[in-house]
Amino acid sequence: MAALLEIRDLRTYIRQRKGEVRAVDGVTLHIEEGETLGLVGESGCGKTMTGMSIMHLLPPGGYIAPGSSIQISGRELVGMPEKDLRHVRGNDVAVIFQDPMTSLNPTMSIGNQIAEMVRIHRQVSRKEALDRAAEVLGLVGMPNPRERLTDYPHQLSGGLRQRVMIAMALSCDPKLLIADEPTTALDVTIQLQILELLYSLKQRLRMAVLLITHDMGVIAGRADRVNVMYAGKIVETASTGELFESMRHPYTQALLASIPRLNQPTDVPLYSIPGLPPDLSHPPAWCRFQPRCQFATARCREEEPALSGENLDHQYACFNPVGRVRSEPRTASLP
Amino acid sequence: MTTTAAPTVADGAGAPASAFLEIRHLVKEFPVTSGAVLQRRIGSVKAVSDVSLQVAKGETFGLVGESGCGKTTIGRMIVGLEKPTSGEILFEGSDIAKLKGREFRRRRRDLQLMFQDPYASLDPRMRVGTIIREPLTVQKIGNGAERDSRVSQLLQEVGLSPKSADLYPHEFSGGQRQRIGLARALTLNPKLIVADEPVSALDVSIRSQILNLMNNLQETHGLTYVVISHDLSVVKYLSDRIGVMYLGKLVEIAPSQDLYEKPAHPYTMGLINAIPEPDPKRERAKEIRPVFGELPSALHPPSGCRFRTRCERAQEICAREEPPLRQFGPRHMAACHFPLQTPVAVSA
Repeated sequence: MAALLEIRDLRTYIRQRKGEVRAVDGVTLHIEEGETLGLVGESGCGKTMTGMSIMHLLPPGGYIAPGSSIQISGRELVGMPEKDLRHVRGNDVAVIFQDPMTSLNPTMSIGNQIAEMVRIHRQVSRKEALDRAAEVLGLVGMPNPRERLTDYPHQLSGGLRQRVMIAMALSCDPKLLIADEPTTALDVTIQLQILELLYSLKQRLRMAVLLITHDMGVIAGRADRVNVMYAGKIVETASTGELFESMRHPYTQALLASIPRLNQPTDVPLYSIPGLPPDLSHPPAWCRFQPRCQFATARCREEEPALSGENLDHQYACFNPVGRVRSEPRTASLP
Repeated sequence: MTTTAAPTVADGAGAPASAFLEIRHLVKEFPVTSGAVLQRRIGSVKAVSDVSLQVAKGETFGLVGESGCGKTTIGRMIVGLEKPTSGEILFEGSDIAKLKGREFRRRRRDLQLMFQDPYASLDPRMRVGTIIREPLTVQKIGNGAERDSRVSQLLQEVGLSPKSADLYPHEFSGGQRQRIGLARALTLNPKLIVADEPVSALDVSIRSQILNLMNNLQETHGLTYVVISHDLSVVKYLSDRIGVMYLGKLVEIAPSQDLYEKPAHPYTMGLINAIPEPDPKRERAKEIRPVFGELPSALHPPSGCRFRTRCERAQEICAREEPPLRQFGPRHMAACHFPLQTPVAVSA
C-alpha cells in the first residue's frame, strides 16, 4: 500500500545573486496515513523548505529541480498545473505556520477567513461556509465559536490565533497537515495546550502530520518517527524511541548533548558544536558535517556518506556512527 | 531562621543585611490612552506590581515568566532604561532609581545590559570595534590607543579574533553577534550584567556556546548576573536562584534546584510541566493537564490572586485576597493560598 506522502530525491534550489542555494538537496521520506513524522534540525537545514515544497509555496527564485518526486496518495505533484495544485492544497494537504499574526489577514474577520478557505476548495454557499467555520472553531477549542466569527486577528492572543490557523487548516478535512514550528512563537504553557490539541485532533481525524521543528523535546513527545536534517540532507531517520535510545549520527548526538535539561548538573559545561554549517550555495562533495565532527576520519573528507543501516527503519548517513548511547544528561566530553 | 515581616521582605532568611542589588516594592505603571488626536487616559497597566527581591554579589539570579509578566521591564529599570513609578532599586546600598545626571552616568557603568536580539541590537552601520568602543567614548574613558587595546582584549575574551573589530555586524552569525553584544556589555568593567533572553534567538547548538561563555566570564570577572528569560531550562542552568513572575507579580522565588524539585506555586508547576523534554519515555508518561485558559488582560487583572482564572486549585478566597509571600524553605518564598508544599512555620 502506497504511503500517503512519498517524497523521492527532492531537490529544491533557490536562485540568488550570489549563486544557487541548494536548500533541499536530495531528500527522500514518506509519511503513512495517520502518522506523525518529525522533521528536526536547526535554521538553514532545509526542513521548512521541504514542507513548503510539498505545497509548492516557494520563495522568489525557488524551484524544484527535475528528477524530484512528491506524491500524495499516488498522485505526482511535481509538474502539476497550478489549478490542480490549488485543489490539492486545502483538501489533501494543509499547512500551519509559526507566526499566526503574520499568516492571518489582519483586515478580515476570522470567520470570513475560514469561510473563504472553505469556499475556495468546496462548492458551498456563504452561509454553509460560515457554519463550517463555526464548527471547526469549536473543534479547536475556541470558546463561544459562533460569537467569535466576527473577531479580528489582532483581538486575539497568540494562542487563540494559532487555534484559528489550525481551524483554517482543518476546514477542508486534509489528510496531511504540515505544521511548521507551530508553537515556537507561543508561551510555553500555551505551547502545551496547542500540542495537546494537535495530538487529539490528529487522533480523531486520522490525520497525518509533518511536524517541522528545531525542538527535540517536542519531537520526543509527539512524533512517531523522526528525520534529522542537516545542510539540506537527511542524516538520520528512525522511530522516535529508537532515535533517542540509540542514535547513530554524530550530529544527532551533538544536538542532544548541547541542550540544557531541567534535571542536569549545572556545574558542568554544556557540549557545544564548534564551527558553522556549510554554505549551501557551494556545498562540499563530501560529508557536510565533517568540519564540526569529532569522529571525522580521512574518508569523511573525500566521500559523501549515503543513508544506510542495519534495518530499513533506522538509517543514518555516516562512516563512523556513534555507538549505542542513551539520551541522558551529558557531560562536556562525549564517549 | 530569622523572622520575616511578611510581605515586605520577599527573600526570606539567609539574605545578607545589605544585598548587592535589592529591589523594594518596585512598581512600573504604563498609562494606556485612547483616541487618535486627543489622547484620553483610559487606564494604566501595572507591568511591574510591587516586586521585591535581593541578589547577592557574584550570584546569578534568574527571572522567568511568560509574556506580559514584567520581567523585561524589571531588567530595564535595573540598568536605568526605565524609571520606576515607585519603589527603590538599591545597588551597593544606594538607590539608583533616584540618581540623575553625572551620578547616574557614573552608576550606569556598573550595571550593563546584554540584549536579546543579536540581529537588532547592533547598529548595522557601525563597525564592530566602534560598537564595543562606544561606551568608553560616551563615558570619556581612556585615549584612542587605550580604547583600541581594550576592544582587542574584549574580542579575544569572548572568543573572537581581534580582526573582527574592522568588520560589520552583518558579516557575523547570530552566535557571533551575541558574543559581540557580550563584549560590549563588558567594556566598562561592570559589576552586574542583566542578560535579557541571551540565547533565545540562537540555534540550539549555538546556545550552549554562549551559556558556557557567560559562565566562564562570570568566574574570570566576578560578575553578578540577572538572567531574564521565558525559557526555564536556560534560566535553571545559569541561575543560583530563580524568581517566577506572572502578570506583574512575583509568585515564587527559590534556589534553582528547590524550585525544580519542590515548586510551591501552581503556576511554577505548570511552567515546569509544559517544558517538553527530549526523552520520549518521560514525555509520553507525563499525565499532566496543561495550564488552561488564556492570560487575562493586564489592564484589568483578576482580583485577589492574578493566577486564579487559570488555576485548578482556586477557591473563593483567591478572588477576595491577594496571597502573601510565605516561606517554604531556605530562601524559598511563594504567594499562594493553596500551595503545592506546606509552608514552614516562622519562629517568633
